[in-house]
Amino acid sequence: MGRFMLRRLCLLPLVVLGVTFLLFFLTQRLSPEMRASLYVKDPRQMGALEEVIRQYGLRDNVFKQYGRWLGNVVHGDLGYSPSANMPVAQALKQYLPATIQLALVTMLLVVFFGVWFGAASAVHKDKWQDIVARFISVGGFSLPIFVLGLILLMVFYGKLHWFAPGGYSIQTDIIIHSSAFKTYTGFLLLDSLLNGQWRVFGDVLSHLVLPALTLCIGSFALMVRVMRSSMLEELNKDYVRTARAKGLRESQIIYKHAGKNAIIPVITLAGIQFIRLLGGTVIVETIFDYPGIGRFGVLAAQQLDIAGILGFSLMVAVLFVVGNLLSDILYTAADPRIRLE
Amino acid sequence: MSEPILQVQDLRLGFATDSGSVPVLHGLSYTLEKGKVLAVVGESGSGKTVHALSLLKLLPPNARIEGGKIIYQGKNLLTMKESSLRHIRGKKIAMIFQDPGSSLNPVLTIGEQLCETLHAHQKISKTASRKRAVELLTQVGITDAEKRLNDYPFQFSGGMCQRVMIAMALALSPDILIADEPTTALDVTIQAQILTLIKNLQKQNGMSVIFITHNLAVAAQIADEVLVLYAGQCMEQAPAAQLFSRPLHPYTQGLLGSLASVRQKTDKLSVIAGNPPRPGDKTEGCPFAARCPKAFEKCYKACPPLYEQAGRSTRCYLQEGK
Amino acid sequence: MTNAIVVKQLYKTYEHKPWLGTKTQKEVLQGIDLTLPRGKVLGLVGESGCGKSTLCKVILGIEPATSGTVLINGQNTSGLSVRQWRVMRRQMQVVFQDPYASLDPRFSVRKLLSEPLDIHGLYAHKQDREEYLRELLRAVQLDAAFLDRYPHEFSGGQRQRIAIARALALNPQILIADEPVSALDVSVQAQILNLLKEIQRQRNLSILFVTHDFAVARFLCDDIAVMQNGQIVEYTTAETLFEHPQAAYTKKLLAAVPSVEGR
Repeated sequence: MGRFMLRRLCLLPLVVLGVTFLLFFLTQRLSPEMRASLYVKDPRQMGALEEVIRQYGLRDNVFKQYGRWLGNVVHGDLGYSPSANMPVAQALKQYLPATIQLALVTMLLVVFFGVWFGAASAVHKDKWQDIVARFISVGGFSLPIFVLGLILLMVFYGKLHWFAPGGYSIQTDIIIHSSAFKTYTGFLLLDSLLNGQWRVFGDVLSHLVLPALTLCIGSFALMVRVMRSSMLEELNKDYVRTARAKGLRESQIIYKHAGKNAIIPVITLAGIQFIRLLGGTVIVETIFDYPGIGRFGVLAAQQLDIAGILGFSLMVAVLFVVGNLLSDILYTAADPRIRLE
Repeated sequence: MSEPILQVQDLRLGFATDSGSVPVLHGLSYTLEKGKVLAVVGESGSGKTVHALSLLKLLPPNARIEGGKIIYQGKNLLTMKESSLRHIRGKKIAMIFQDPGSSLNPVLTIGEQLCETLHAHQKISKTASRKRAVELLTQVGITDAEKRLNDYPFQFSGGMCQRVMIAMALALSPDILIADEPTTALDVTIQAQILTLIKNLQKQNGMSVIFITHNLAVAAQIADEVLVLYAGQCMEQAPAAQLFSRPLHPYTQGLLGSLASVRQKTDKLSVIAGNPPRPGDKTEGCPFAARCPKAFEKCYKACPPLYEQAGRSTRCYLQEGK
Repeated sequence: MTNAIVVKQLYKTYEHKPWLGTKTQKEVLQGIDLTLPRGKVLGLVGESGCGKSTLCKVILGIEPATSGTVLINGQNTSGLSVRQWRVMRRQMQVVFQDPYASLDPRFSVRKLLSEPLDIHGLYAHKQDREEYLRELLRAVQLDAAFLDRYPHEFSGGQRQRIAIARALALNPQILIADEPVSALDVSVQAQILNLLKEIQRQRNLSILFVTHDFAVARFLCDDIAVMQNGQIVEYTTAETLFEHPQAAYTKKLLAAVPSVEGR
């Protein structure tokens, strides 16, 4: 078990190196002049391109340049991002908590409602509960994120003015940037509570509603489906018959016996979905103008901000491996057959 | 002297399929006596397992009870409310199954599964139920029971799992144990141990057992009374000693004749021709007539009734008037 | 005269070596010596997990041996090429336990029986083929009308007959039967056992008969090897084994066999 985790952790540097090197290699397709011009802000300095190229060693071979970038990364220097107008490391530090916050809230919705609807759907197979859950599930599958996002935005912001886009309102902005507001974790939901700022908490939460709803729908649909089929399968197994023969209550049979087994594949799925979700944030954050790492990545890509793109991919790769690891740990914890092997 | 504890009367069962209901039991009746072991012997498709499941209404969703009664303590289990039936399941009538490995929940410890049976039917503290669980496991021959309570089913062999199942079934000293092919998935040496265990516990507790099996030799080891099931009907019922020494029904005779023996070398086994009918196959007369070496005209026309004589009953025209 | 199958000092060890982990070893076969003389039936009897199925797989070339030799009709099977194995399999066929899993449900009986013939290019002429297929079904006492039906239309016993017919299609000298009757109903078991015995005599087949059932072994086998934990604990003629069992394990197994006689 411990060894298994160790093996998985060894994968982390491999994935990170692989992803970043690939991107680095791709950026080399741009001529040194083009890459040098990205460092130049003032058009009048264009004459000094050679100077920039020499200074940053943009003509060196790709491995040497990659090695230099890596060396800097180890020292915490991810370069400067012109698109965000700040060092990449600082941009990541600022945007990442918002994205993780969004992804976690979404995941919570997905797992809680997905498992609930899926289980209810299986237990009441072919009854109205099942039909409703299946209908939602099919709907969730067929709605693309960007369509749903725009619809929600038009209805709840454009028409009803219930929820606004962005990360928080101007009032909140003023409060959190005042000296009285202490940053403990970087996660606004937590920090607002720790500061006793209920209004801020409510505001941040209300700004999470639309993006979280949009983001969760696809994973939710899948979760319902997997939980349903997993539960149906378990309910047909011999041990459920044994549980019934023992005279247990139906609720015990369903939740304690079948549920505990049915949840195992769902846990693996949740891990994978969490990672997929991080990809979905790119679209959702753009639609809702949500100040997260996805929006940062999009802006960096649009402006050919190489340092920004590399920093973004580095972060995504790390999240990818960590997410996988977490889902493995959970999976192992849930299944004694693997835990005790 | 004998006291009936469970009565099955004219039990009719069918499976709902796309092309209508397929009958599997055509009016099965018998009486289980207190403190006795009744073996129900049949081949695949004879309806023996469905019959066992119907006793506690554990049938799969597509099974339909089409008639009959199962009387226990003066009440019909088939018409009983689910909430009342729950108090009989596991407490008064317990059941063990064919595949002990899959019959236990893989993600719960043996201790949890044993104790929950106790908690389901009586007010008992956690420590008390754990203590009782240790007693039960020791009773079925599991050494180091205290420690093994925290183990999961996959850490037990098939035979050990069946012992756990038996411990669980006996937890509340039920009146009746239904054992559905409990040794079929086990090796012969383990099978012998489990049979001895069931027999011993049955005697100790004065329990009645319904033992479902396809194996005549196993039935011979354990049963006081044997019921031979064929195509959803009782072909012959008799005290075990009589049935094995002097089978009356041609089907029973055929089955016994077709067994290979360890005791002597046979050059050719006598066989029952043809194949067992599958549920849904239509027969006018005796369901065995098509394979019966002694069948005559009448057998193909109408199904014979059960002829009773001297404590045994046989569904064969050859017994008419004897 | 060469023996049909000779197994000498056969070892099979399964190793599991995870990356960054300790190696685990499982010795499934530990020095097996067996001889199946031509035209005889050798019974391999043991409880689950004793290694009898693994031994079959090694003999059939499905699994490689860790060490030791297997001679089939005098030919060493280690290092045979795929093509050589194909030739070898013409001489040695197999019947499995589960007649429901071993017949492809999409194939008609005609196709099931034709497949091995097609592979080896036998009875290519349409009329010859038809006649031969009918002959095969006759050999397993099935009606020729069954040729155009599909496995799901048959009972377990009928399927096992078809599986036997398919094994006989290439007219092999050796048959490996891995628990061929243990999934069948009592009344059908006897039919299949009689059939196997009859076919063995008619064709002078050499059969390696794997079973857990001593009664079945006594009916069919000339010699019997009793296996336990990857080793052979007793290996003698059937007659001697049943009349004067030597090994403690054999005695224990025999004592455990339930019987309808002398309760």
